[in-house]
Amino acid sequence: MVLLKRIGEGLLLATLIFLLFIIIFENRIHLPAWLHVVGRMHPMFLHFPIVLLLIYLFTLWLPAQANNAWVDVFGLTAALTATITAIMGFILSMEEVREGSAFTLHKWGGISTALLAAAFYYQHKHFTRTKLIARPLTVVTAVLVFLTGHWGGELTHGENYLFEPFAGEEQKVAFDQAFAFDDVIKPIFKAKCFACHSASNKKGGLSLEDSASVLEGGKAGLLYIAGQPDTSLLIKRIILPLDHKKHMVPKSKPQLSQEEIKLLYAWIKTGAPLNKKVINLPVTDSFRVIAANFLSPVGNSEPVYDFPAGNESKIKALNNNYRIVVPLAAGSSALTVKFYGRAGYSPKAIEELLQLKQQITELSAANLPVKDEDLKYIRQLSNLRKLNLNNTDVTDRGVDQLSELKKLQELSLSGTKVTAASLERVAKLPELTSVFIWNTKTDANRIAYLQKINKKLKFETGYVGVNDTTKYTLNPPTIKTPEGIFEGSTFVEVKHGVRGVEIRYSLDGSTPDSIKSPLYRKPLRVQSSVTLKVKAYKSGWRSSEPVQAVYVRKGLPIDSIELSTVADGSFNPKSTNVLNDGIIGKAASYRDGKWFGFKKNDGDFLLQFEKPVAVRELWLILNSFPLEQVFPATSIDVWGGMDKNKLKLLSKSSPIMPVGFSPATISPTQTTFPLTTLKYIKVVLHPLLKMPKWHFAADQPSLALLSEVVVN
Amino acid sequence: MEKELLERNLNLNRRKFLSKLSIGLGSAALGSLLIPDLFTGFSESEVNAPLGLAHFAPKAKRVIYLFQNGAPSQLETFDYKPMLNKMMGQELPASIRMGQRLTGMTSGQKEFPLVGSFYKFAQHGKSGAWVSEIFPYMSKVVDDLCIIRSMHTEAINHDPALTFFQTGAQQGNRASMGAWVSYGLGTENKNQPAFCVLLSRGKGNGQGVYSKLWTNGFLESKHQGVQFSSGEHPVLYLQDPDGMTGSDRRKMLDKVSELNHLEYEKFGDPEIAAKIQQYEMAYRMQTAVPEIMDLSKEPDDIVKLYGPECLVPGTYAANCLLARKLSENGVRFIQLYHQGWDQHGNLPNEMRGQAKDVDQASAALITDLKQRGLLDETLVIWGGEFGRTNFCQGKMTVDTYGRDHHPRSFSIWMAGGGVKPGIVYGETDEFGYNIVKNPVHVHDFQATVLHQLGLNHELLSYRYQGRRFRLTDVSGNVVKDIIS
Repeated sequence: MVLLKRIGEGLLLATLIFLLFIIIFENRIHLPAWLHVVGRMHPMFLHFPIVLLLIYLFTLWLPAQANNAWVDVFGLTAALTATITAIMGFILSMEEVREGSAFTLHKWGGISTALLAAAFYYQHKHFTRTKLIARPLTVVTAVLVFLTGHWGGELTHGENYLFEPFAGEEQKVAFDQAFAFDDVIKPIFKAKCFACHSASNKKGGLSLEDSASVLEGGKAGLLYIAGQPDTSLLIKRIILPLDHKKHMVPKSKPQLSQEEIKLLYAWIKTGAPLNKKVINLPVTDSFRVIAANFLSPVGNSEPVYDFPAGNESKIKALNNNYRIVVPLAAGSSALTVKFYGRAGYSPKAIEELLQLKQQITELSAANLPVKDEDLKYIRQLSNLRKLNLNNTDVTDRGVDQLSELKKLQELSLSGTKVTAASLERVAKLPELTSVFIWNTKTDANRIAYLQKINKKLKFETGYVGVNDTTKYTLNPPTIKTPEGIFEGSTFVEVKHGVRGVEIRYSLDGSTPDSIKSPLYRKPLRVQSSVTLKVKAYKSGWRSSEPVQAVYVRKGLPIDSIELSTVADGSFNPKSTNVLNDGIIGKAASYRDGKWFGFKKNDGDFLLQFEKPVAVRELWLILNSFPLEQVFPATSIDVWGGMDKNKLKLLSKSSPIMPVGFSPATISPTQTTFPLTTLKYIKVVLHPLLKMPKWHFAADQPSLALLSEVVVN
Repeated sequence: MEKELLERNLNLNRRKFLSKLSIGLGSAALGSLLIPDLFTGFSESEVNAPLGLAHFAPKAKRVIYLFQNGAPSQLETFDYKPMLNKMMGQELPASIRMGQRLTGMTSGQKEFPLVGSFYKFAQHGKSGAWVSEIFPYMSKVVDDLCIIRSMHTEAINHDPALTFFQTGAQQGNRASMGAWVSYGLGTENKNQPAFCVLLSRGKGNGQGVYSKLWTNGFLESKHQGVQFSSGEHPVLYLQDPDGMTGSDRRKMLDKVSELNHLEYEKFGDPEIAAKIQQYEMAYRMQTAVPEIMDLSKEPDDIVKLYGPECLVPGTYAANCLLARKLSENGVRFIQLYHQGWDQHGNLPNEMRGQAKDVDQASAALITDLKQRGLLDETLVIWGGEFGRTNFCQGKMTVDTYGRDHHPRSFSIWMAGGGVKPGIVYGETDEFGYNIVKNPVHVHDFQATVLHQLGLNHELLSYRYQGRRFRLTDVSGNVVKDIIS
């Protein structure tokens, strides 16, 4: 044991001397080949001193009685292997040229570790007594061991190897913003070459970390000759066979892909541009073409926001049914805000946004009554990129305030009262690229001038209808009040969707015209049965087709209605009460059980009143739907009298017949006769037996439908 | 706390529970080792991709899909093939057809004479894209369009092809594209559904549309497309019944909500909470919808822009205008269907009419969105479910011809929403039969649409019947080349 220790101590002394010797004469010694083998064992051997040393240092923290002879052996072996490792490292470094900060740190860290380990061993007895000095020193040594190991790791595995997992994925640069070296070539070097050729680790004296050192080249000469890829060292080394000693990237490391090689080749061929933007190269340039695949497409780069995310509960609190505040995407700190519906809008709704004024990048308040004063809140949204104020009440006075939005890129002002004056001021915003001013009163000439002096800014004026002289036909007005039977009086409402339209009407079923017919201003009060016909007019337009609706005032109650003939099987409601219930069936969907139908034979009804009534008018609600072979009756005979066997013909009338395939309409037919007191009325309906020539079922019988009988 | 637990339990529905139980505890233990999410109830991707938010910054916030139902011929619209005119009447070479299957309508045909377009083509815009004379308005906005001439699909008949386009599978009962978007991004405007459908019909030979094209499939029913019409009552059953005033409705809703809340306190069933919200949304829609339908805020120019037909409810033009208004109001996905593009015969006449229906309004939609600054955030898509054959179906005469279904190549266009404007992508051979460059499969198209909306099509999935479903099934690549 003692002998072994002696031999060990002798060896330690010898190796220490040798270590000091090579430190001093580093540049003057030439090593035999077999020593290189020893040098290359450095990465393997270094694990021994690390473990031994750490265990040895740990023993110094144990109570004194735990110390025994073995501790000494540990200390000796640790110091010895540390020194040998340092020597090996030296030999290895002499074989291949190494430069850079990581290398220097590793070198001196290793030497210090070896020396400290030896010092610990020699001073062990002394240290065990004065723990106050020894213990802190163990910590220092342990830290040094870790650091040296880490620097060594950077040499073999590349810079920042240890913390790479924290770095996250690299952001790809947009094609239109990429520089040739920094954004295309350097990322390749970084991924595949930096492990050995970075500023902190210049193997072969070569660093690829920045454009200056790339130009400098390494020990073997210049890296490339611009424009001559085939004679450039970089390409030559890359295309050497994989097993060749000088092949780059070394066989044991991840290789360059075919694409990357092509890109490096094309880069040198095109003159190895360094600080040039890729997009400024000719379109046909092969480097530009290949680089496009490496870069993210134009504008597809996710914008980078340098502000912190907003408070989540604040965001949540600001959301309601009419105001949406959401992040641009999951994990994005940028917020987009949109207002919906006039009901939920107030200036306060905008003011509240100031709680998140830093985070809001997009805001849309289109089609809302936003006033100029409300923009004093919007102008505080310092990171706003996109603002949509289409169809709001803002004017120049408001827009002027927007010149504080330095980040603004898109501004939509279509349908507002802004003029070129405020746009002139807004145009000075540094980031602004588009302004939308369709449907505004802006002076076209001034905008054209503004456009001319602001090349990067696009004024979108949109479609101008004045240039289109085609006269279009208006759509018919909408009659809001459903037609039918009313009691007493009713109001009839008519609407039209297009601004500035004049609605003219008639109540007698005639087609209204633009001169004589009255103008509709407010809902019409109707007291008697009418046929309302309306048409829309507007200057510069062709008038609409007329539309009509019939309002029949509810008549006398009929005590019973008796059908004397047979109705068509499909249109034979269970009770004749449907003819006097005040409800008109639907014209198009006439299979609703509200219609009596007759096809082959006449419809013959007997209306009976218990007490004699004075009558002079009869309305029959018929249906007209030529496409489905439904026509009003050809003629209607009305008979009346006090005795049902002695009825007198009161009138004979012919409803208006459709002359083409008009849509389904309710066709009310009025029959008048001199005031007659009677108890019975007989109505005879004659269906059209031969449909007109223009009909696809010409000469066949039509269906006559009756829904309601009104007696006045 | 108790309520939360109850809520949690009710979220696991009975069938799910039974199916898990039937596997037995032993395999459950093993399963938890293999699938870490078995006990958390969430899959890894679900955790990583929260619903209701884009996965990454989106280019498009909304989609307007102008579906040309029946499949317009690419050879008469965007894929100019002068060779077909030169070889008019000659037989389609077998080397080009390469055993392509035929529909029952032409499989009995003995000859396949090539037929070229009767319409003239010209190059338009700075991009110099070839567009047929039947689209005079679209040719004017060609520099805003990205025309894809290399679409291809798997189906050869309308129903499966439509279903494939909309749901990613030919058989149906999967969720449609709009439903997926609603599921992935939620509604933008809380007073509107996220997915709306508008229908119109041309005079040409038509094919039906079915509600399965806008189905929610296995997704929650709130993601189903809501059919709007451009008439007096755009949404059915939304208006109060006769004699009921707004305040009556409010009172009734408050009472129902009170009862529902009581029930919710008792059972904690999230379906009840959903129901309460649905009632409230419908109530808000009662005021929001008329605001959208109101044309009085629109300047006259708009009517001129879209054409006079936009004032006639139910027309394609009216639907385009309505689509713009809905989109402006935050409806995420608006699906139009215009029927009548199935020209098996009488093609030269019928297509002209169909084109007239859609040309001006489709182009107007682009212009209108653009002038409001909305085109960059709205993706507009125009196209049918497949293409048409380069040979004549039926008898070829001097003044007319027809074309059968052709799945191997057809043309669509996209505009806005971060798609490169003014480009023509993909190429077919000189017979217009096979794709020779940059093919785009329906799943690629779907992946691209989702990508533009900020959704990763591989992450947007839903677990149902023991597997995860995606719109793009197990394929689909984002067509990076057409994205700006």
